[in-house]
Amino acid sequence: MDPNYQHLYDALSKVEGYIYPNEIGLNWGILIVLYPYITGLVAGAFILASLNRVFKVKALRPIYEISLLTSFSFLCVATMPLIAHLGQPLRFYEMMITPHLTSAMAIFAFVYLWYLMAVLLLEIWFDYRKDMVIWSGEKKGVLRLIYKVLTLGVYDTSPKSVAVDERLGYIITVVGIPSAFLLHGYVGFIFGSLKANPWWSSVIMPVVFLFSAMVSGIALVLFIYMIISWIRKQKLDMKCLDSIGKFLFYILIFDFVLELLDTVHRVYTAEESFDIISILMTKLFFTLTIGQLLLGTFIPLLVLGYFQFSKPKDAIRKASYFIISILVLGGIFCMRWNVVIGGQLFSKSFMGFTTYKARLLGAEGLLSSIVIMIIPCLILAALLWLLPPWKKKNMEAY
Amino acid sequence: MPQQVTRLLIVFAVFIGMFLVAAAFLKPASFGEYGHYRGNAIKEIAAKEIKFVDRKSCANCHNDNSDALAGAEHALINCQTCHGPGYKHNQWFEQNKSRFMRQDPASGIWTVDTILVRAAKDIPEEYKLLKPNERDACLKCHAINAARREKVVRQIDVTDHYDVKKKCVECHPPHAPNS
Ligand code: HEC
Ligand code: HEC
Ligand code: HEC
Ligand code: HEC
Repeated sequence: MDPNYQHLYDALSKVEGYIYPNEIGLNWGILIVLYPYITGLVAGAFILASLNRVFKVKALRPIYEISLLTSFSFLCVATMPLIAHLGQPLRFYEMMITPHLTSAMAIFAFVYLWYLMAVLLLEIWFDYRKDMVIWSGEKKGVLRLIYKVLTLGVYDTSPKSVAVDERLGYIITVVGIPSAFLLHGYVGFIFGSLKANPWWSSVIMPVVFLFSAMVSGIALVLFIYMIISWIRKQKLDMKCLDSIGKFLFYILIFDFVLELLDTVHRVYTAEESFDIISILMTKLFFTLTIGQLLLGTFIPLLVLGYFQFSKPKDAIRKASYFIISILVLGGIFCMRWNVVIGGQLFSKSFMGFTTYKARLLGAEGLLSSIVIMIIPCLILAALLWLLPPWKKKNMEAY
Repeated sequence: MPQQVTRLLIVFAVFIGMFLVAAAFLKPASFGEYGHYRGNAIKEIAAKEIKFVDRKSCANCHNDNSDALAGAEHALINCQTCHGPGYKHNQWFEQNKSRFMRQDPASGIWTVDTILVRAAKDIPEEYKLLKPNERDACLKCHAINAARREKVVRQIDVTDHYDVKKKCVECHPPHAPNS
């Protein structure tokens, strides 16, 4: 065959039914799946921290710092999938120096920066300031210098100044809750406002994204807390675990009901796009039915629901929480996958499908996605080493 | 004001200041010239090598082919879809018009003079266009494919369409395939 047309045949072998030429290859690949996934983890972990700080859920105290640091570590890489996806990655900063105020996509840099600088960094700083002053006195050499720089030269640890830290930290957490909603609601908004795509275009999208964000963030902190305790050979605080489990249960119900509402609405109104969407849902069997619904929602709901009424032995609960955290994390990943990839698999002519196969190499490949998911874990490890929550002097506060 | 607040305000002020300075330096020079983008982007794109021409300009010299095409089934297809990008071809032959072409004194229309063309041995390869008379060239559009609608393009079974050893153009003149 003429090599000039070979690619055309290859491309056409991937499609089914009728599809417009620009729909054969997906424009948004696995990186764009990671982007809402990571920002969701950030927002969810932060909201879990604020449950302790603002809503005074005492049982969650042991994971307050861990949630904040987790949130921060993942926020550090939240922009990476987007930048790697750009056609001109080295020009990403132009988005900030030439702000486009009426483009929802262009404004992300500012939403992001607000959340990073004005919320997370400040909250962590106020929370750790006193400890950093103390540690800078105890440590030597480079570490001492690092702590000194981090305190920004404020060495006052008098009760009065610590009280100021506390009050400001509280205010920032209060501001942080709507900010976390903004950050992730925004991501849902981006998808929900794409009116050309019936699978995405829905007003409920930001809310669904927000609740799934909380679900995944809570599951992540649960997972990380158990791993850290295991590495440090510390006993897990069962009250804390049960409490996380309880919140995970409630929010998972909310999330599930919202998605159900969305689905029921689609089925009942049965708009012109309904036929193709119902076929799409059968095509997403592994990620939707198995991954998102069965493993990511039903099993966790059943187990967590059972724990609300009866408490089996600690060891069983521990193991269940651990498995559930992994299931939920996988389930929410599948949910992002179904939204982002699923939404591009069907033709806007409503008459055909294309297929998606992630490449292994390249900026948008599987490998770079794995790297992007590993980096925040390394950042978190470094942060936990630099700012160990278990060495803090005010563990009883809040 | 508490000490940590003043310190933070200073740090933030420095940060914002640095941002503004960096923004002033990094902002592309031609930004905003016409709208919310780099004005130079347009010039850069305009400076790119041109590859295609409009279909009318082919008719200036090949009016017999374009007439054949106009009334036939392939009328909606651009010449360059089959023959490849024609800008260089156009330019070169426009410059060497008098060597290969004759003007009809009455109507002023130029036509290719095959005798002059055959005599010329020095037409550089890069200015020639494709003559896609192989079966594959037609089949990229006409082979059976479920993703294509029969209403838009008539499709044939390659293995079972009359004489499978012959080129399509032996039975279908490419510009007016059903004549
Ligand atoms: C300025 C006049 C002129 C214009 C404009 C022009 N051509 Fe030509 N073209 C010629 C001449 C003269 C020849 C003959 C040279 C040859 O046979 O190689 C030729 C040859 C060709 C051939 C090859 C014929 C063969 O037997 O090898 C094709 C195909 C062709 N032109 C297509 C086009 C298309 C398509 C366009 C529009 C993009 C176009 N031409 C525009 C003058 C022109
Ligand atoms: C469907 C594809 C197709 C389109 C569209 C098409 N051509 Fe052709 N053309 C061919 C093929 C195939 C040949 C070779 C025929 C052969 O080898 O017998 C050809 C041959 C030619 C030739 C060589 C001389 C001749 O008459 O055989 C010229 C000149 C030419 N085409 C010009 C044009 C111009 C000008 C247009 C647009 C008005 C055009 N073609 C549109 C497929 C096409
Ligand atoms: C760029 C795509 C394309 C290419 C290449 C192409 N065709 Fe076509 N052809 C069409 C379209 C579009 C029609 C008009 C719709 C139809 O009737 O199928 C058509 C119509 C025809 C028809 C008339 C069908 C009918 O009875 O209505 C024939 C015969 C044909 N082409 C033969 C050829 C041959 C031979 C070639 C190779 C030289 C060729 N085509 C190359 C797109 C193409
Ligand atoms: C031996 C001569 C011959 C050859 C070679 C040939 N065809 Fe045909 N083709 C015909 C005849 C005769 C018809 C009209 C009768 C019919 O509709 O079946 C036709 C019809 C068609 C049609 C219209 C079909 C329809 O459903 O109306 C298309 C498209 C077509 N040919 C494309 C091609 C292509 C592409 C090739 C090269 C792969 C080719 N033909 C080779 C003789 C030929």
